[in-house]
Amino acid sequence: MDRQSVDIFISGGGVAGLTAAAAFGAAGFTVLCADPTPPVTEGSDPDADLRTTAFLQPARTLLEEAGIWPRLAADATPLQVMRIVDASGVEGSVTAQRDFDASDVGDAPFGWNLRNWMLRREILARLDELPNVTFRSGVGFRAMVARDSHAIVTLTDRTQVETALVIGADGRDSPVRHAAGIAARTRRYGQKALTFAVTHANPHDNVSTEIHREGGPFTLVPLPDHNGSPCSAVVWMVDGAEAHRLRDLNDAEFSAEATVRSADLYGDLTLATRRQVWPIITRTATRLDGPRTALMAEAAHVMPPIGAQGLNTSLADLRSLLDLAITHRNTLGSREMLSAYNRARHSDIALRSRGISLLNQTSQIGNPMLQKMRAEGVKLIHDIKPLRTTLMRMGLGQR
Amino acid sequence: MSDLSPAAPTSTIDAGEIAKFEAMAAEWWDLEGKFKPLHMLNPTRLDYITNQIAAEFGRDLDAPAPFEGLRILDIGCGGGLLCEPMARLGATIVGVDAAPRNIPVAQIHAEQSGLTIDYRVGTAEDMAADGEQFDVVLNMEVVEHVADPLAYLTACQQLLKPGGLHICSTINRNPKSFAMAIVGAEYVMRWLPKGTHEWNKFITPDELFDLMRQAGLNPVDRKGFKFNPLGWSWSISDRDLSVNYVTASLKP
Repeated sequence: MDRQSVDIFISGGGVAGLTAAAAFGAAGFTVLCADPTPPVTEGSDPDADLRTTAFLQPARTLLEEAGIWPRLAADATPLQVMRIVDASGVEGSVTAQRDFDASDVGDAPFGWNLRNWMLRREILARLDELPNVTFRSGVGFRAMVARDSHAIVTLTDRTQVETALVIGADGRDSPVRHAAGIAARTRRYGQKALTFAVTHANPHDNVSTEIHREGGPFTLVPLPDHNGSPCSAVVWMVDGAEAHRLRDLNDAEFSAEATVRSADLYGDLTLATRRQVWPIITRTATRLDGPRTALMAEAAHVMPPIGAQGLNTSLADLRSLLDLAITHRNTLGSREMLSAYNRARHSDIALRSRGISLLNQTSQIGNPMLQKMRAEGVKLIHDIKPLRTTLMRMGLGQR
Repeated sequence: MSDLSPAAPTSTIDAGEIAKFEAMAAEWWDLEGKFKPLHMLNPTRLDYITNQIAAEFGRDLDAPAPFEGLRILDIGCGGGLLCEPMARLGATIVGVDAAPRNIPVAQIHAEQSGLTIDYRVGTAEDMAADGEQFDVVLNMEVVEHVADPLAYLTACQQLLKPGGLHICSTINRNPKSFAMAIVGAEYVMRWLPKGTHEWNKFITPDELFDLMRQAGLNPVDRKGFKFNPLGWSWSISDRDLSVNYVTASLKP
């Protein structure tokens, strides 16, 4: 029997799990991170897409501590302005448009956008520098037994890991969450998100734009130029049946419909990647801790992809867990440490999930009267500065 | 392991006795009979035991005979409620009981179930003196009945191979366990005969951990077996060890 011993075992090698591996490794813990799927680390990989992840300021601080940020700084596109547009007027004309400028709440931009494949490549390169961190790809979590003194994790290749702390960063159907017997509440919206990237005629000026009409928001996130043209990543949320119709259109038809839906703000949009369809759900674990176990990221909370809250909430989980691990170095994974983690994160996650859920529902509104109220609401929030800055600070994780 | 110990060979039991033991076996294994409380607790005990063994020895519980090659001893085996599932999981199992009448009962039921189990009359101390060794020692609801717990646990330790796993369950000592295990189980529910337990022999988890350390075992886990009166069922609790609890310890 082959049993390795580490301080921390992390199930899941997505952005959250890999960042956690680097952060705990940089803090001096021995770490094993495993994921059954090999990560995509090349832009030319057929599984690569142009999707990006927005990192807000607290997340950047964490990446700096983990020694990842210096590798990414050159590729990071700052997010200076978030533009909210209500296009529920006649023929999709714009009825309200307000810019939320980062300079209202500080000197730094809202955040930075990073391409996912590059992010993974650079975090993996950072893990290679850390002798106390091992990343195993193609091998996943299979089972665990949590004892008072430690947990024994069995991997899919039958090898075992003895560890003080098991971190479930293994996604919305988290095997660790199931093994720990922690329930999760799921809310479905009958909605799907289409994700893809487009090139467009007009420059985006690093403005992130969220266009509301009916059925769900259409969000353009600025990307570096692609083949010499301005380029944006798009998250387009629509009803389930509509998502499948849009996915099955040919590229030209699809580009034309996307252009109309974008209210022509950037001129003609041209599809630049394949389209992916994701179901939109809110799912929250009933608690974030179990014996020797902590849940983080989508294993603990799935939110609709609005307002860059998903990964940043995940990294807020990591922040809390890392700080507690450092103060509980000699009692790592103890019940006391893990209940402190659950207390620290539970209410924040509930608040953000409810907020995002509410935003999503207002965005789905098809009733013209309610659409008008929504447009007025956007103007109101924007035009009353204390309200605007408070909500912006909250959205940025500054509370 | 098909050879039965000479202490209780089936052939020495006469026909009348066999009928009596068959009736007793039926009683032991009657889910609604006088051992109902044990049957109710049994799935929860088995869940804990099988998971601990599988984790410790790197076995896959989904495999056809996950415990193949493991030699397991069940002390206080009674009618074989733990031995039989262990045998089904592929273990080589020895069941020992100090009460001679339990052994033929267990043997008859094992034969009826088509299982090969080595049942013996005896005590842990006797077996340790014989130099027997096992990968796993199951010591369930026994330690609260013995006269000298330290000597008994020392025998359990001697019965383990180095790296072996010892699972020990018992009853806590506090006002709640007195109310539940003695007043509740023996007098109110009549689950157990009056006088089954002496409350002053009950051991707290901390005391048991201390005793195990003195006996040369390294305690690694403690969990509660919690009775839920609404669902009329048992579950494993990592927080509530107030009445029934179970521990895992390793021989270094």
